[in-house]
Amino acid sequence: MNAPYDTARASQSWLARSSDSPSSLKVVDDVPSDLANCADEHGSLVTVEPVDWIVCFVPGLKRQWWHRFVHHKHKHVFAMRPTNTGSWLLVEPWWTRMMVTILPPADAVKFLRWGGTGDILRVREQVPGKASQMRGWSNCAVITAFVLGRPSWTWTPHGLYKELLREKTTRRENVEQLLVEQFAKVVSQYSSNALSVSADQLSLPLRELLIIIGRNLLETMMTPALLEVCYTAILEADRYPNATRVYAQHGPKRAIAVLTKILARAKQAGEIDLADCEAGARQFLGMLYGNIHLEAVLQLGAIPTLSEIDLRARTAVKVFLDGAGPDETAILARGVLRNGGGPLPVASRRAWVYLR
Amino acid sequence: MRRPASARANNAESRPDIRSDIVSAISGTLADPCDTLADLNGIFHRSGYSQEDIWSAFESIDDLVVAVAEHEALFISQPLVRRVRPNTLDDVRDTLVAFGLVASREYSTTLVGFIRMMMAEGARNPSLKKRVYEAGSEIVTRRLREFLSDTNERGILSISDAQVCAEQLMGLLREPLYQALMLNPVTSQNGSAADRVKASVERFLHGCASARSARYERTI
Repeated sequence: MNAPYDTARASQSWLARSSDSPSSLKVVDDVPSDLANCADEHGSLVTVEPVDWIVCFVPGLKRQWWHRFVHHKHKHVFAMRPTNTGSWLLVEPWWTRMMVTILPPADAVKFLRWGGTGDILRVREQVPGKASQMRGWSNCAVITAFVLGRPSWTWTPHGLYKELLREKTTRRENVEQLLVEQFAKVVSQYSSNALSVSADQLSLPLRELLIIIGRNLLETMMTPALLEVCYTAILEADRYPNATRVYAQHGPKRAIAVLTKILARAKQAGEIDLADCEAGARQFLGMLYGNIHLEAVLQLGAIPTLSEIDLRARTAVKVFLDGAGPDETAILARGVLRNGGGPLPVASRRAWVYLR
Repeated sequence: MRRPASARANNAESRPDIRSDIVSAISGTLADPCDTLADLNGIFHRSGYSQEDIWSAFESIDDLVVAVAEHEALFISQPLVRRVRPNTLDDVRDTLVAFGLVASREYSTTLVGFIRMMMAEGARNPSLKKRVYEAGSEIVTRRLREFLSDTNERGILSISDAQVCAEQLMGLLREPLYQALMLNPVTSQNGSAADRVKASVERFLHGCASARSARYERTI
């Protein structure tokens, strides 16, 4: 499910369709003509390009009497598709209903792991497809073939498995590789947005640049989709270490690399005294994380608001650059308070306004 | 998770030693780097105590897990409460380094397994996750905040928001935890863990702006 991508493709197709759609379409009563005229050559309001499905052929989770009659590893079949946000679309035929839902990555991994106990195939759907509603008994194999638009006459998951495997474009998949691909795509997309710095911003004083980057990083870290991917990466670190490594490479490590470069430039310009810029970048990132990142990953409490994020980014930059130790302004301010709360010296007032 | 009420022995107060022994054993098990895919049953099994032992000392598994979190929080925050009240920046530095060394060690050992366990169990039992966090991390942060507030009021430190600063320092010290949770094998870094803690505390106290830059920034 690739919403922005699909929408873009659909728009392109709509443009193509508008230019050559016949003007003499027979419009059904009660349907707005603009909608009816939108229908493409297959009668669909939007034209969406065929996409890949991850089709999982699995053994049963619990023993059932009919299991003895079907292939030992292919007793059930369902289909999944990754989205751009880390979640997955699941289409699983039940005996009593069709389960169509969006799964967060941690839940999707459960289904993928189940798939891993059998066989996982990547199959491109056919549009408009050659399946038929006249197949009769709609078991999981029949419904999955229908989702894929295949004119299959098999009644068993294993039969569908053999048919799909005979197609040239079908590929076998494994769970870790699927997670690696999805984590890399999702996390790098978010990281790029958070870490992109314009030439104008690069020329800003370090303090302002760090506030901008810190705020962008915090905002991105707190994106629900990315928190879910982070949660899954941690939870599955032992089982799928490569997926977790990819998360770290495209997420925190990339942030550290960008921050290191910025700090190295600032060091060269004499703005900061840092022996090890990479260590400094790690420290800055740690200050940004504070408690809120762990709390968010553990799904404790509310996601901070934009103004809270801004305050935290500013405070982190303040402590990172100036430290929490006493400075002249604080000493002056304390002196004013001791003098009966009279007006602050100019320098103190400016520093206070700046920090707000 | 909860044992039937009829079988629940009220040993919570009568057998404090066994309770603390079990808590220490579970903490030790969590610190064991061989731990993989932590779930509660596996951790209990490796602690050497049977479920019967645990039931006899705790009313529920949830209570045991919360007790482990409390134990860890007390252990980590000891340097903040045990020391003589600091009078100088050097005293503050010494206290924060002592605190940071314990925290950093726990974040790279016991708490790695503990966080994983919380994540695995938390989906099934969200209230346990909340109780554990309140009994653990929140207590440590509160003690650190109180320490920072006190030093701020006495003019040793200059901080505008002790809670946020406490959280930032916790974030600084939590780096080994993130490393252990996400990077396997853990990336090697320059210097020892003690050096990194000292450097982090120095950064927290003094920042890294050069004297020239700081003077300029503070007057604009």
